[in-house]
Amino acid sequence: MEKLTNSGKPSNAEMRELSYRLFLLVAVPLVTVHSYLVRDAIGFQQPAFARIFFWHFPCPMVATVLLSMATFFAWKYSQTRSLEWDVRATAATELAMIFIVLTMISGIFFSKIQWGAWWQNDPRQVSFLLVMAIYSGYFALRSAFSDQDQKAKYSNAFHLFAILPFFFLTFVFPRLPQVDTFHPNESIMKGNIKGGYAYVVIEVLAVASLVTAWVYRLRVRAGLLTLKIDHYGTLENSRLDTAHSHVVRPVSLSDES
Amino acid sequence: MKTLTSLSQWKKEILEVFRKEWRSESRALSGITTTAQLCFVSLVIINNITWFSNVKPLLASGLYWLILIFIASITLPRTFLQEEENRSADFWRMVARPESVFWGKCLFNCAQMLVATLFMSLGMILMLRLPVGNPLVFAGNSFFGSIAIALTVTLAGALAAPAQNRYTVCAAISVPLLVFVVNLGMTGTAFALGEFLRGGERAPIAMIAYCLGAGALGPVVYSRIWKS
Repeated sequence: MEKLTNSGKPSNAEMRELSYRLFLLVAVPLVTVHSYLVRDAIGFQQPAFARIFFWHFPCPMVATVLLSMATFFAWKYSQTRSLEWDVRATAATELAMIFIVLTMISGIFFSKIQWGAWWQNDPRQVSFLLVMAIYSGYFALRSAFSDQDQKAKYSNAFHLFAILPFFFLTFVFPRLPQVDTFHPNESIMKGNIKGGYAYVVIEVLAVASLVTAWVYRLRVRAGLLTLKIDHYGTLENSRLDTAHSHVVRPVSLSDES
Repeated sequence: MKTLTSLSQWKKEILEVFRKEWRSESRALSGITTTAQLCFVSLVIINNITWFSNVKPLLASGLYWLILIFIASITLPRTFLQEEENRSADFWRMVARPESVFWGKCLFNCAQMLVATLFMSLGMILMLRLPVGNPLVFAGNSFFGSIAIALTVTLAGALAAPAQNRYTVCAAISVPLLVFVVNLGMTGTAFALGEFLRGGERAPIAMIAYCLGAGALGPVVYSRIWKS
C-alpha cells in the first residue's frame, strides 16, 4: 500500500486518484450527452427510450467480468488462505451485485416501455434474476459467520461452486434452441448495432468499466485497511501466529497465578 | 496394483461413511420419516387443490419439482449439520479424507432423495391420474434430477454446517442453486407428461451434465473447507 507523503506534494496514489476523478468528471457527462445526440433507433415501440439499452447493456457484461474475477480471487484465497484475496473477492462480488441490480432495474423499465409489461418471463430476465438469487446466498453465508477467517473460508468455497450455475445461466441457458427470448443473442456478432449507436455503446462500456475499476480499487483499499486495523487491534492477544514460530517473547506472569 | 489398492481404499472409506450415516439414521429413522411425511402431506394438499380440475402437465411438473426441492432442502443437509451439532465433525477430520466423507454423505443423500422421488412420482401419477407419455424421459429426468439435488444440497449443508443459524443459511444458499435444476427438471417432466416443449427430451442429458459438473466440483470445494 502506498503511503501519503507529508511534504505537501501529492503522492503517486493521490495523483492517480485525481486523474481518475478528472477523467470521469469529463467522460460521464460527455458520453451522456453523446447518447442523446445519436439518432433514434429503428424498430422499437418508443425509439427515444431505446437509449436505456446504452446503460442496460454494459451492466451484465461488467457484472459477469466481476463475478469471474471474484471466483478467481476465491480460488486464490483457497490456495493461500490470505485474507487479502478475500477482500478482493468480496469487493468484486459486491460490485457485481450492484451491476446485477442495475441490469434488472434498467431491464424492467425497458421491458415495460418496449414490450408492454414490467415482467415478461423472458429467459434472460429469469436467468439473471436467478444469478442474483444465487449470489444473495453468498452474502447470507458471509453474514452467518462472525469469525473473519471462517467467513472467508466458507463464502469463498461457495464462490467456487456457484460459478457452475452462473456460467450455465449466463452463457448456456439463454442460447438453448428450445428457449425463446426477446433478447437478441447475436446483435453484436451480426453487426446489428452500428453507426453512432455502436460508438455510444462502446463509450458507455468503457466509462462503466473505468468507474467500476475505480470503485473496486477504493473498496479493496478500504477493505485492506480495515483488515490491517483489525489485525493491529488483536495483534497481542490473537490466537493467530503473530510472530514467527522461532520467536520467543518474554512473558510476565502475575504473582496471583 | 497400487491403483487397485487405492481404489479399494477409497471405496472402503466412502462405504464406511455411508454405513455410519445409515446406522445413525436407523436408530431414530428421523430423516426417512420426515421425508415420507413431507411427501405424503404435499401429495394430499395437491390432491385437495386439484380435485375438481384436470392438472396440466406443466403445472404438475412444476409442483412435483417444487415439492422435491422443498423436501431436499429440509431433510438432506442433516448429514452435515448434525455432525457439527454433535461435535463429531472433527472425528472425520482425523480418520478420513475430505473427498470420501463428501462422497459417503452424498451417497446417503442420493439414496434418500431417490426414495423420496420414487414415492412422489408414484403418488403424483396415481393421485392426479397423470398419463406418462414418455416413461424413459420421466424416469431419467427424475433419477438424474434427484442426484443433482442431492449433490447440491450436500455441498450446501457442508458449507452452512459451522454457521450460526445453519438450517436457515443452508436453505438460503441451496434453494437458489436448485432453481435452475428445477427448471431443467420441469422441462423434462412436462415433456414426459405430454406437454409439447421443444428440446424437452434433452433435459435428462443437461441434468447428467450438471451432475458431472457438480460431482467434479463438490469434493474439490469441500476439501477446501475441510480443516477448520
